[in-house]
Amino acid sequence: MNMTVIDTESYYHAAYIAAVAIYALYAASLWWRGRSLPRRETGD
Amino acid sequence: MSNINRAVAARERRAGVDLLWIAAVLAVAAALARAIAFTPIESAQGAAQKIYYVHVPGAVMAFAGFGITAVTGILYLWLKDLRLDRMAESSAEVGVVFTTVTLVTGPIWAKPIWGTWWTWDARLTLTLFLWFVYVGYLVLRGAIDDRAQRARYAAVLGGLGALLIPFIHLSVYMFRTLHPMPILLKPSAPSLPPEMLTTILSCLGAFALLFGALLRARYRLATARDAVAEAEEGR
Repeated sequence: MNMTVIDTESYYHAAYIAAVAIYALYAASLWWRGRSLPRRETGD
Repeated sequence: MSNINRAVAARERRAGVDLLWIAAVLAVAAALARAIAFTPIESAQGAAQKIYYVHVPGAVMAFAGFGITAVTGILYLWLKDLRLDRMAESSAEVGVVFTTVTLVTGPIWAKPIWGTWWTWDARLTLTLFLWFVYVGYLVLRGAIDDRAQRARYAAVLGGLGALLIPFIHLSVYMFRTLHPMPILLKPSAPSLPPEMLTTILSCLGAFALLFGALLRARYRLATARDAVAEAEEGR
């Protein structure tokens, strides 16, 4: 029997890209906040 | 630069390269490579079913994060140890990030399968409410200056918010819902072919490592921020 698989590849790619982007942006925000903390808080 | 600022800067530099981060990134990359290239495509849903491998770990780790927030918040009310409050705050923020991934990937999966991006189904709606509760938790923390009062109010909200988690898990049994029943976290054996089961377990392990790395980094940030605040108060 020949079974046709529906084409949902673009959704799958979009979901993976979105997930990786959210985790990467959050990790970058932690790095950025940590880096800027002493300068921002103390003004030196 | 004062001693405390040097200590904070040194801690941040050390945090820049650490084994947990390296392990987490490698594990997530390997788990996603397995999901993308070495896991069969499900016949009914096509490639969109592979969204499962990022959607479910996002939800599981979000629940773990909010569970930690609730437990450490309640322990704070008892022990009044600010380290517990910092852990509660950190796990709430990381939990919000994982919930965001779940709420973003879910609709992308729903569109080709259900024909709609969103439906006010019990599980989806309760998960959105959970996200709002913990975003509210973080906003509340930002709005209170007094450290002890902030920790106390946040502990109560963090504990109550986590009561939504069992309702979300059981919502597919309690209500008529479009969301499928659990195929992994259920009393009977997982109903997945072995290749897919190995992939989802790999993804759960990899995202647990990522959760640990993010939580530790966020906790270190909270500790450094409090150290700076204490140094300022002491001036």
